[in-house]
Amino acid sequence: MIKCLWKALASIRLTLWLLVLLTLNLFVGSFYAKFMPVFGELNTKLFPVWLMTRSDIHSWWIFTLFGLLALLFANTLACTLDRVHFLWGKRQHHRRSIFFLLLAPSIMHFCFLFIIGGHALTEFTGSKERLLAVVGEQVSFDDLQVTMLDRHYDYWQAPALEGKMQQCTATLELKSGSNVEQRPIAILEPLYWQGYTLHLGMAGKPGIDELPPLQITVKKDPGLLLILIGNTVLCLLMLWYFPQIRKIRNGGQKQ
Amino acid sequence: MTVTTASSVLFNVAAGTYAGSLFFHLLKRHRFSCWLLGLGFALHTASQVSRCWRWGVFSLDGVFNGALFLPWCLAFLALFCLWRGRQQDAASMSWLVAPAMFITLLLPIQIPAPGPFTATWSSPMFFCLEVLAIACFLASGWFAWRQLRRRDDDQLFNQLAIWGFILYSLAQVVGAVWSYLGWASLFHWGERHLQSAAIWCLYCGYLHTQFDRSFDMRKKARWALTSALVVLLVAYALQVAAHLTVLNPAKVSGKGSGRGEARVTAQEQVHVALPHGAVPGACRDPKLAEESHD
Repeated sequence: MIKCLWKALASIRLTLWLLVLLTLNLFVGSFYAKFMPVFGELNTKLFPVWLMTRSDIHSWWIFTLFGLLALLFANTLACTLDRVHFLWGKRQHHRRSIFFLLLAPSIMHFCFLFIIGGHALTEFTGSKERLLAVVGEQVSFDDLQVTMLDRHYDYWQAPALEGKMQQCTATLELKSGSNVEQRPIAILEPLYWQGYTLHLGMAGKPGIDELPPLQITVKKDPGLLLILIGNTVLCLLMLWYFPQIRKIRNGGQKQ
Repeated sequence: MTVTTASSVLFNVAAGTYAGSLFFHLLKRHRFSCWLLGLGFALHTASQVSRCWRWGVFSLDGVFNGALFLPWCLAFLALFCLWRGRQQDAASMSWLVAPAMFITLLLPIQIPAPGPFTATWSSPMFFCLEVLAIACFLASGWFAWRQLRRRDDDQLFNQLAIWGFILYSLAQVVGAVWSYLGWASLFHWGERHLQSAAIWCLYCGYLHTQFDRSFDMRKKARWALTSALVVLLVAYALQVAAHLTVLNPAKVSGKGSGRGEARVTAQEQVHVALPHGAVPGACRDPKLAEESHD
């Protein structure tokens, strides 16, 4: 019975069905996300918080998406363990370089599991907060206080870009207990402090004679490293694996 | 002649040359068709390079815009086929290059001005890799369709789909870095990111058909063709439509500039709409711009 279940779980046909269903689910979800602003709130709230306060009947696609991802996780894990077990048994029959080449797809699949796991970790155990930043006003999160001391907007000088903003920078005063420090922050240049990242952004539409209001997004991202390492290793292995395996299949010839 | 005018003239001449390439392909003069494709590619490259200075400063913003860059990528793939000794296949790509070029010429596409959210290496790199991947997917669909008609064992469509998937994955990594730096999130719960994930899953599924024995060459070609049609609709048609002032009158200014120019930023290419509708650079009061120190 367990063997039968394992075989079904590790089947490639199940992988194909799950990927097709995930594709459909994501397309449907993209239209919900486009037309219903409530799903945009997932970008500023953690999933459990959003689930308790904002989910309704229209959120069905998120539940099916998480369900399909969980199944794909299990399917990938089962498939990969099967293949690693099979390859390990035959390791004496291959040269070390060929063995590593054959093992590469399994490592790629583990990277995929890291990526999914990292996203789950961030969505369920991280923290996200968006704070309006006004010069001189203090904002707090956890036991930490942030005050924007000043802000500065740079505009392009070229005539074709007249009035277009080039960069926006600010100086923040960061307080943690008795420790006080001042740090610069800019758009696309986040600040790392006390395990958090602080990102400067724009909070709203400016009027004709008004400067754009600013906001600070405070983020704790426990899955970040898993996702970035998983993605990078996955891409590097793909770049190496596919040309190599093609070369071997063509009998050592490039064409 | 300004840089913008020179760039436009070169682009128009390149479009004409690509059309000539298609014409000679229809006459089955494949060699001449390839020559014209190469000439069009050289002119198109010059147009894209000059576009870097269209704002009066060096900027890669807009250079990799899908509407402008996709025909270049398709022509590049055609020349790559030619280099690998596939003259007829290379010439047949003019069926993709010429229409893509003419769509760009016919529709009033607005290129976003450089802003604070695009001043990073990851922004142009993301668009470059993504459009190149889309070109691979479309070319894969094209050769899959030819494969279904010819019934031979040519694997070209499969190789293009694999390279498209690798480039698309790289684009997602670079895009995630950009998204994290700018918007504090590797994945954004929005239309654009969800559709990118859907396309990735679709091609991931295609790659896994290699391990299912019931999938013969024809079934794989059908999958590649269907996927390319999905990419054509989602990653090209809808993205180009988002930049059309005809379909987006709300994006035509009036929000303070009084110049009637469309305000579509590169950020909107990724996140469709800025959080709470912020428009970088919308403040055009010169006094405020000069005295913007608090």
